[in-house]
Amino acid sequence: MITEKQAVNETSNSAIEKKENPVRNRVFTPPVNVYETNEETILVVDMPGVDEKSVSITYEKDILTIEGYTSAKTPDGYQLSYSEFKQGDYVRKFTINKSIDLDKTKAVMKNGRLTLTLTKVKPNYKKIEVLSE
Amino acid sequence: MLLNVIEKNGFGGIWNELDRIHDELSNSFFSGGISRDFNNPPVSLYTNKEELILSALVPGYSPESIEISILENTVEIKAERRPEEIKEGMEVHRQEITNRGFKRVIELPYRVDSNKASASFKNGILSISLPKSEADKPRKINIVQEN
Repeated sequence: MITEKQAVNETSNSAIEKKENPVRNRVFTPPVNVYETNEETILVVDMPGVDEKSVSITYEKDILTIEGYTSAKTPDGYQLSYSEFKQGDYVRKFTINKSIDLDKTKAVMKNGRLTLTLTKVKPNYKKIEVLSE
Repeated sequence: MLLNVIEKNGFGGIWNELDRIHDELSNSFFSGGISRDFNNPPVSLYTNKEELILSALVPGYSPESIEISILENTVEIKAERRPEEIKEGMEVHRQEITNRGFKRVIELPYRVDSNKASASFKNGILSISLPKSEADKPRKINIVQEN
């Protein structure tokens, strides 16, 4: 189950938001697909212009933060004459309210698309027998 | 067991969201489709005197799957449907990206020398370099002095 959560006025440790760069890039919310199987949850995030070195994924206090930085800019000696997209960075955050196995988390960046696989921690299941005295 | 993934917006999240909605609306207005689906991938044009660079956002597509064709002053870019990510037993919680493929025809202000055109692909951004055809380049005309 996924619920969109909005919390304004919340302090954040986001690297992008704290970036000391005086020319702050625009920050976009990248589109995402979320799939789930019994063992894992898969997030697919489209961040064109971002390579594997400029993507940051952090998990802290149940909050998963995905950030992507782009270096795409107007080529030297050219003038932007028409544009349907703007250049900037990407940030998207999720609260994950079930345990994930951080050691088994896998992230692949290919052709501007991030595929993040979160493996769930298997619940310790034990039936407790009730004895009569 | 269900692993809940809830979206969380930090400081400024609502403004980014408004920006995104605005971008999406303006993109759908200009390109006749919703840009997030990339059915009509958003494009930008960069120009200089000699040529034009057409840049398109096509994340998730491989360069091999993209077809580019040039005819006089039009460029067509297209790609077939991408392989489905959803496998059996998968539950879909959120689907903001589609795998429908795309097709877009862009009209340019001049005819292109298709023999000199080239394309590159990096991190989901397609860049096509489109030099002006000789016939459409501005020509200087010498004035002959008559006596």
